Amino acid sequence: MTLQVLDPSSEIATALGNPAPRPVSLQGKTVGIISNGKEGTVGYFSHLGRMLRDDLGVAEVIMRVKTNYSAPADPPIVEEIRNWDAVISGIGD
Amino acid sequence: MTIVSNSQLDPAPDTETIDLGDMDQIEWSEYAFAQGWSDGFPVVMPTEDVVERFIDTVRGDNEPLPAMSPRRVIPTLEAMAANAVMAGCRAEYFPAVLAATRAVLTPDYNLHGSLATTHSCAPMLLFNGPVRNELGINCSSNCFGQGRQSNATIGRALQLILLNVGGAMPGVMDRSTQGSPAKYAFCFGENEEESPWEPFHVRRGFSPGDSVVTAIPSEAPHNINDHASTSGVGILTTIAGTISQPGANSIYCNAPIFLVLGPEHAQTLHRDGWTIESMQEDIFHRSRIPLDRVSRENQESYADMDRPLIDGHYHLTPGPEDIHILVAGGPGKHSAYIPPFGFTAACSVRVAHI
Repeated sequence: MTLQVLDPSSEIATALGNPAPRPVSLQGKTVGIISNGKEGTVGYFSHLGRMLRDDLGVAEVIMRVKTNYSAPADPPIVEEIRNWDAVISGIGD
Repeated sequence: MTIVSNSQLDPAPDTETIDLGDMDQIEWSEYAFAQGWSDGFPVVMPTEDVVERFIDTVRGDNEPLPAMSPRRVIPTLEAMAANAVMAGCRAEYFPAVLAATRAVLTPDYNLHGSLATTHSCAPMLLFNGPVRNELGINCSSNCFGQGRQSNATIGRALQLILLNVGGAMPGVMDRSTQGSPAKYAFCFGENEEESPWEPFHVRRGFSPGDSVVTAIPSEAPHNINDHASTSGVGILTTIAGTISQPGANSIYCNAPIFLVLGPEHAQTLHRDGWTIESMQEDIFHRSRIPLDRVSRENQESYADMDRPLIDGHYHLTPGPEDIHILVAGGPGKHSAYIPPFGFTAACSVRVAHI
């Protein structure tokens, strides 16, 4: 006799679909950076933005800051993501 | 007895059952540990027949569930019931587990933030109404502690659901810096029978006969010891002094806090004429934190966040009504302060009686 158990991690469907394919290159692309708004993000993301432009040829870096650092990104920011080729999200506690 | 290798046990991507072969309980627990499905304690086998018995208790409760953070997936009843079985619940607890899950999925609860935060919060579950006695939920001595199956396993079941369905894996998507013992299970009931005031859920608009669960992400309870005060105002002085902490999230987050009065403190306060509203008003003013107890850097940070500074003080809550007061516990001169995660709300959901 064998025992069957239910998978405790199963779900009906992912609500947000699949991640977009990774870009092969960042050259000439638009990259969005979403900060949680904490102090540590200011210098780090500014430097990261410069590196993306100067070292990797990114055409435009768009900086956005969440209004609440303990909640998901605001809907207008999420709406903007569709216009970007890549997005970087991070915290800076 | 043979131990089946994990590769043999991996379910096909679109199936929800796993063949355990001739695995016994101990081998199953080890397998669950290896999959990351446990909180560190052994888990009960969620066999199909047992899971089915749990699901039978909520038939007719068809309200759809929203996506669960941080994995953002829609939970199935089968997966939630499997976690309740694994937690050690009895089948009759499952409507309470489902209601607790609905409570943390209320948008104002801010489930994503509360799971992904570095803060130590856990989902506090407070039960009111007949469900407390029907399920034997401890509302009296040691109500926050160990020893009662319903408190331990209903709280644990929710945590396992958040882990296994929501994906809140410690150190991965659950980024808590230190965590808290409350993350194993944090579930209790109001001691309505020994409270001199209306039950908490009735003050929120429910009927006394409603069974209600209230959830809020919060720290573990902080004891408030006052053996010497024999007056209500004396007890409130101790409470206000205890909760006036610059290191709690309350100082910069617009969130409610919970004060859980022991029955003896509650009786003294009631004898002296204190109402819920007058206690809220008194504590709101006397627990505010003066500027000189807050570091200069934090003052600057709170100013950037437009945190109100009133007469040189920070209040712990937006208003007196956000200090939630209720009664729980047994004999003794102790009460408890439950500080919140912040950017959240206390969310109450009726437990369905099918």
